[in-house]
Amino acid sequence: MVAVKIDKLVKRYGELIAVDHLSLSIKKGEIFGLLGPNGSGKTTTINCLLSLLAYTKGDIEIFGKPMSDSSYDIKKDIGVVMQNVAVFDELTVYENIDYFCGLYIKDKEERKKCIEYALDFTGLSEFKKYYPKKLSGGLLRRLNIACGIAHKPSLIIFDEPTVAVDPQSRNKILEGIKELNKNGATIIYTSHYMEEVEQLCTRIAIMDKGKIIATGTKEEIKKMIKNTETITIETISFPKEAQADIRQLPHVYALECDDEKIVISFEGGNHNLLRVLEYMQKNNYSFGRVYSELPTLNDVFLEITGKTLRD
Amino acid sequence: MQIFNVFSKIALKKFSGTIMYIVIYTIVAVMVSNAAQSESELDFTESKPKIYICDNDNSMISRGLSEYMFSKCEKKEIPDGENAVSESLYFRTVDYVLTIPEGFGESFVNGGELVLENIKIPGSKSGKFTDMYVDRYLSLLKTNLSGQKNVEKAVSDTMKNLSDTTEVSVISKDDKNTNVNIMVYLFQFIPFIFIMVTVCGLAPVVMTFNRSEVKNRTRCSSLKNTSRNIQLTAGVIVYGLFVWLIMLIIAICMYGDKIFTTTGVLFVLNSLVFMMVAVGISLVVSNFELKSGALNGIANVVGLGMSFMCGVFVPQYLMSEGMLNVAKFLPAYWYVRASNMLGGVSGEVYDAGKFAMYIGIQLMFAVALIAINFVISKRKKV
Repeated sequence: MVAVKIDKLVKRYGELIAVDHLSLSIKKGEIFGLLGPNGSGKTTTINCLLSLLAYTKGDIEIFGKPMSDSSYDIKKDIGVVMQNVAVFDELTVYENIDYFCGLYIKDKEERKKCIEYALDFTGLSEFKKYYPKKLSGGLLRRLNIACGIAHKPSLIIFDEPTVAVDPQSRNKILEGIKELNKNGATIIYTSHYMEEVEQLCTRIAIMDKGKIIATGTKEEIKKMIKNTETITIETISFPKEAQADIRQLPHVYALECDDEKIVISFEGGNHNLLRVLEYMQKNNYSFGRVYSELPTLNDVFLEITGKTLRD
Repeated sequence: MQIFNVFSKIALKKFSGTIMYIVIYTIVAVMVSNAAQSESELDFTESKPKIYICDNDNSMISRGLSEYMFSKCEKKEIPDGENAVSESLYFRTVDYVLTIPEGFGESFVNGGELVLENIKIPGSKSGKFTDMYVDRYLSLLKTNLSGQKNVEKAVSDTMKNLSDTTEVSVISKDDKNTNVNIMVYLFQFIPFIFIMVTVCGLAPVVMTFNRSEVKNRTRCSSLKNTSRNIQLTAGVIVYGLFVWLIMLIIAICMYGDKIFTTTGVLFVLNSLVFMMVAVGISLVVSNFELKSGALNGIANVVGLGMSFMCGVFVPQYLMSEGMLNVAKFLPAYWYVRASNMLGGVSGEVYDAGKFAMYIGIQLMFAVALIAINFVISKRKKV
């Protein structure tokens, strides 16, 4: 069953097209990653999805119903964790969660249980009397998450929740998101960190300039490009004849060389590394470290757009 | 009521910062009212220096002088003793010691050179006053002696002339203070206080809810936008009424039943309308994401600027025509006009129509400010 359906969404700011005929469909129970560099239109898409922004054209459906600013019955099942921390500095951790949870749940007893659940889930129980200003960046992000999930929504949108967070807190946040998904929530996760998206998401859409340039599982996306393996060999002043020989090896489609290393790109094939090492030993070429890398989403992005995700 | 509850909680936390203004306001109002109520400005009592006269002459003229001086000064005795005079002056038991030398009367009539001797506290006001009384007696006596040689009659005429007293009554500028309603001294500072308290106390609370992250996050929830706006509006109204009620309680404590007279109620009504203006100003300010320092700056510029320009601190009748013409474009001017009319400060007689007009103009300012707030928040909406 489809949780979110976006059809030909267009959002213009005057002459600038922030979202350009974007269509996507997210199934219930998925962790869907929206990946793209800063300014690619991820947050604009999310804002349109939540009806925070009026869009120029297109249709948005959530749980099979059209979404609008007044779709309060849909909104009650949505949890939002904004990119910028949205909490009150004047309220304690507990009071903040109570406030945001209270926007959905009126019953005090039920709310109390939800707050305890959110505190437990984010590991903030011991900080519940703290004011946000006393919390570290990581704890503050966790509070932001607690405020977004306390009412136990079935669709949770995380808009770059790990920006400026230390690796330890980042891992906790990602583990938490996985757990929420295990408990039945559909997750939409936007980020410009490809490692996070690769680690977390079951399906991914890569965005650039307001358009989706690739979508599918990470394996499906990686198959879209020519490169299947990159081998880097640390060596000094590798001769031109040898470079030409390596170019002749099976499945090699590109080779780059400088004074310190050679980088060989392969298109398909097995045992590519063995063949390269065999050639080096046979011809007595000395070398240092050798490593083989599988393509990343960044490679996909680079090949499709000609720039990296963090450009 | 989630938003209203949190609004109240944050407002109470931030209210402590504005208590200072209310306390200062109360102290100043009490001081000004007390000073205005003090009779020293309205009555005149002739001060009486303490004098000791040593009459070695005992003539008709010296006795007349003593009699006159004792009518104007407080008669004191000095005990015998070598340093008695200087000790009495040092301890201020007397202000002036006058010695009339033997033969002074005769010398005075014949134009001789014998003079009166005096010892007084150097540079004292009482000393100068007493010198003045002595000179006045001798000058008048000289005049009365010029046409005749009858000393007794001259002294008698002099005493009669000097007995004519001058009725003194203190009249303030334009004779306006005589009918001033004492309540005006409390209510005249209201524009400054209300602007300071709402801009420094209310605006930061509204700003907290207007922060784009919190506002958007709330808009994502299942709480209806109308419910959010109603709860915020209720919070703003309750805050305004709360501050206004504090002022009202202070007024009741200071003036008791006077507040429940027609004039008192009109003063209170005027202040209530100005509270709406102050709330309007704070709502407009709250649309901008400002740090507390900037907010205090704005409160001071708007509060002090408007107060000085509109006659809150300086009476409008002392201000230039040009300044008053500019001030007409500010709400505090109309508040002060209404307040002055009720208090009888400006000499303007109470007129229900004019009062309604002043109140109406303030209400229009309040409505305009709320409309500006509405337009700004609409434009800011993403």
